Amino acid sequence: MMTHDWTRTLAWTPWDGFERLQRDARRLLAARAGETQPPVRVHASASKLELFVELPGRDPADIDATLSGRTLVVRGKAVEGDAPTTVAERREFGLPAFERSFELPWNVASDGMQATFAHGILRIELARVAEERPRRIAIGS
Amino acid sequence: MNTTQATNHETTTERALPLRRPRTNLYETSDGYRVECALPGVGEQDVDVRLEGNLLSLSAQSRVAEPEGTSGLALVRAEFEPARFETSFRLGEDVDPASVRASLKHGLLRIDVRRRASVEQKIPIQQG
Repeated sequence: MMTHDWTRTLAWTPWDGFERLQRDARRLLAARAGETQPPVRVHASASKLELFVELPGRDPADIDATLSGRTLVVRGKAVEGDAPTTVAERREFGLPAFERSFELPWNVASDGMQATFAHGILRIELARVAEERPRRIAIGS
Repeated sequence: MNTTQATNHETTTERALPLRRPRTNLYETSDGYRVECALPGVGEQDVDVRLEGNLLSLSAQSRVAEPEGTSGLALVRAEFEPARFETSFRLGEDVDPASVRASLKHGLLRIDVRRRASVEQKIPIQQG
């Protein structure tokens, strides 16, 4: 029997168990969705885009980012963990195969792609092809 | 995130960060415990693990390079944000504090704690 406490010590009310069950169910469902559709954070301008993807526990060798036309696809294969032989366990996450695709608002320059991976976060920087960038038109007097 | 590469970026360390409970896997084995926590954006210098008695506590902070305001980039989608991570677990009473081992790789923290070896003592039965 596991002896760990998973919740903080709080004053007990009759609704504690029910509310905790609801909270845990919501969190676990969201976490499972996040494993196959990892969350992203995107910064963009008219000529540049930076995309961050949360992928903790993944090796960069198992991640693939592909740009085809204006479609960016980030995918990764399932990773088998080396979970020990247990007498009891509680799992809140795994590393299944995942894939997300993004439609970009403009074409990317051939030398305008860069991807780095640090501490479980993939960062992709994309630059717009120069011919498409908005150009300011000087207005003569 | 490597801040030395992100010279035109500011890190989030100085700003107040929202608190987030990390997703965790806990395994109890025949000779101890293993805890795995997902800590995206957290480097070795930004995580603190403590074992006090049988209470295992973890606090950490993610560093995600954010574009500067002058870069012209605007945040257009935010499905996660830089955060402080905190959680704690009460393990069995028989944990061995000297056995704690922790490692962090690609934003995944792994902590292994062994149980103290139980001392078996044979009780002699005297003849009445």
